[in-house]
Amino acid sequence: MRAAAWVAALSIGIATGARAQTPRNLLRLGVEAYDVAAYETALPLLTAGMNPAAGPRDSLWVAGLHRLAHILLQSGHDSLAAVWLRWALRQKPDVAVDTLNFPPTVGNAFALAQGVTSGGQRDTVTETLWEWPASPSGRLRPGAIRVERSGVPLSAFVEGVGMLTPGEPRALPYGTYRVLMSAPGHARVWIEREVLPGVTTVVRLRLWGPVAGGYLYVASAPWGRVYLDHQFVGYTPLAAYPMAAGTHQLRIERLGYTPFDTTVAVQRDQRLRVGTIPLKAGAGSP
Amino acid sequence: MTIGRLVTVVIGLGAAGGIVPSLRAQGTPEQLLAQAITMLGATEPERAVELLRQLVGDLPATAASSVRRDAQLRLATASWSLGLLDSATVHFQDAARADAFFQPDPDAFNPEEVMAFRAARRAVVAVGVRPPGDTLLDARTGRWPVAVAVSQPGQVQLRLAGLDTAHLAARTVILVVDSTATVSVPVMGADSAPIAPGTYRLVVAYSAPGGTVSDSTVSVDVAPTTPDSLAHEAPPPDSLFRLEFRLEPRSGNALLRSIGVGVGAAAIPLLFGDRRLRTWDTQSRALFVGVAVSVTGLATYIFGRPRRLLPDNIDYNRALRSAWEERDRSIAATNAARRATPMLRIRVVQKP
Repeated sequence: MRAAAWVAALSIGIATGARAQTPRNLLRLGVEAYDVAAYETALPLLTAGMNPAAGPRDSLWVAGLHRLAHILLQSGHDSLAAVWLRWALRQKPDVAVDTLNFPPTVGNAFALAQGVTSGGQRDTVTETLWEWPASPSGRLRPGAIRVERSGVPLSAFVEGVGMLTPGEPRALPYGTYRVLMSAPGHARVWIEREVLPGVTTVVRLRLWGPVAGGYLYVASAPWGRVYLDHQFVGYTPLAAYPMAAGTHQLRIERLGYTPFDTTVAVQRDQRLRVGTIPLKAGAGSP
Repeated sequence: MTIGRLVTVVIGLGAAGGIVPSLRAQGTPEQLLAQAITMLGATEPERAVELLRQLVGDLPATAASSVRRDAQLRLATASWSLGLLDSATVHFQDAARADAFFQPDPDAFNPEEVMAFRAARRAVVAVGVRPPGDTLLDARTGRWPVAVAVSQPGQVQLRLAGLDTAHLAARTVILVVDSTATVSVPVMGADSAPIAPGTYRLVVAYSAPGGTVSDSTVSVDVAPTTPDSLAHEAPPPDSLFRLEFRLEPRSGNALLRSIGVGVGAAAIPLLFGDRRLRTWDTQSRALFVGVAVSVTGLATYIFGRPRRLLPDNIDYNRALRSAWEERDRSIAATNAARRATPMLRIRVVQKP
């Protein structure tokens, strides 16, 4: 009886003043609504309250995340829950999963999301922001992604989607997308970003300025994966890849072929053209 | 205008006017493409991109679509490797337009290139047709198989139209194609009569969510023709036939009989002849007859071995001969039927 009265009051309050609430308050209200099992009421409040720009990623935020994931999983929106968790774990990789108050499905979803987000290298090249809708958005409203140029010609490509025009948002269904960003004279970078329902993901490339070094050109027959100093940098043919001046370990490998290893020395402003490396068929590493 | 700028303008005009050798003078499109590939192999993509941009810009409309496609693909992959993703996408799209059938081989194109090509192909509205070069069809019931490729799922209309007029020559085929399909185009008009001989255009209209496009670059020549008759089969070779008899071994009795008959032929006149009439001459004749009969018998013994017929082999040979005769009659009947069927020969005279 008391819970029902609370829900009724909460619903009236939300209907009249949700727009006036700060995202932080919406998050708090969402947690409270979840605690009285008012899931339909809690869902838009929690999604609005997850805005990382609205406050710290503290215990309230983590509590809201758990509740959001649980509501989505319970209502059969597993993929949407997975996207929210992947997004959240990229913000806060050290989230302690609450296995006492939430069913195992929530813990499993967290574990799967951690498996996806923990594998990659720490992204130091891009900066990501999110533009949250002014009012709580619908569950399955499409989101968007936008890349912003930083004073240099920038091109961006979303795997499975196509090119992005810098500065223009591209509406996309919610999900995790791989984005290739490239600026001539700068290393290209692949990043993975989530697109949340109703939220615009904004990616900015932090260009590390003109490289104090040279550029590598290498090709191989057939194509292979290129590693520079044990870091994967792309596939052959690779051209004008910026490198710091000095000596570097170059490795080209492809499954079924013997890896090619060499040391390259590049000087400042040098364009080092290695040529086409013929890979020899043999037992190669993947 | 400063003198420096003036010089620059003059040089520029000179280059445009042909002082600098034109690209065509440097070789055929195929040669230029090969040069660009060599540059790419030498990891000089900037030079290759420059050359390829000129090449695709100067390609005549009549250039083979494969050259256009390959040039665009090389340009796209070189641009991609340089990080010029926008340019690469545009060139991948042009390659997809040049050859809607093309699908990158994952062994030849790296995963990023494959992914970029597929995304670019999905973004354009391109259609391609590949009709068979030379086809013989039954004019009443024949259907002309044409391969169609589209970049996006959409509706494709195919029809044969007159070269000079836009009048419809044959029935229009309408179908929804996801990626590739083989369409059977009927070679008859709406009244089910065979289309008249002449030159036609294969008109392709394609509409997809991304837009519409039409193509009528394929021209075909339709002519009535006598169908090729089937060649008659050669009779079975002798090696397939089995022996129909077997030679029996010679018998000593036959030898004795033949010699005995000769001896008898000589002895009878000598023994039972009238002695009064006997002279050396008659004796020698009798002996001669006896020897001749014996020699004949001997020759018969040597060369005339007895034969035994083999009925199974005779039956087998007869069956072999009958089967061949049956096939020959069937071929003759087929040829007669073909000569009675009106046929159309459809030859592609201009490819896309």
